[in-house]
Amino acid sequence: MSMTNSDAATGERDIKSHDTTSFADLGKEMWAYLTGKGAAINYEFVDMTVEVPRETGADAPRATWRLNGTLRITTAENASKG
Amino acid sequence: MTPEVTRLDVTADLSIEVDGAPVRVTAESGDLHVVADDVRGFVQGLRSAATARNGTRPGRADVADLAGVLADAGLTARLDSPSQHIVTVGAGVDSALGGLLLGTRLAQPDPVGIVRASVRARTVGTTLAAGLFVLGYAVVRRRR
Repeated sequence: MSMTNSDAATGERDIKSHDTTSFADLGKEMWAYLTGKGAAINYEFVDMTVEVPRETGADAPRATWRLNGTLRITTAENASKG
Repeated sequence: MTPEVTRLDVTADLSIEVDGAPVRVTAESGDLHVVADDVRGFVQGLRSAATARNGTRPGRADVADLAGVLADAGLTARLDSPSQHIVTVGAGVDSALGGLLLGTRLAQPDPVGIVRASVRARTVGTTLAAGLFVLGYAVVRRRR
């Protein structure tokens, strides 16, 4: 399994270097970063497996999500709400 | 003065398996397209994950929040089964039926698609819920 993350503003960087505790935190961090700069974020998922809990609790049963493919997010700065 | 918002462009070509059931996600510019072989299982998986995160089961308000976030970002998401359209949410959507059934006009459900997806799931509960969707749709149509 591998997942890469790069952006136009800072070049290649390793997602593991961040003190992110969950995918929700990761999403918030991505959002804050994207909304501050005209950045582009590219993800490539290669047989990435995520175990997603179905209930609360450490021993909760988990669904298995498997991801493959690419995702690119770019911003259009200074867009105005109509 | 109009508030400044950040519009996003998304390009995606993703294959996802949720407990073995395939989900295809494609996106170009601001249009996201999700096709799930098992729509009911996919939505239940999303709801379970959201519930596990904070112990609160997501409801209509969360659908409205999601639709609002997508619309603010200039994104429109369309969820389909392989043969039927299920729902469209986000930018450019204005649906009275969505307001009635899902609590937001930024979501446009397709009652026929929901019913057919539910029949495939072969569960009484889901079929009953789908029946209510159709009933609501009929009420809205009669009022027009």
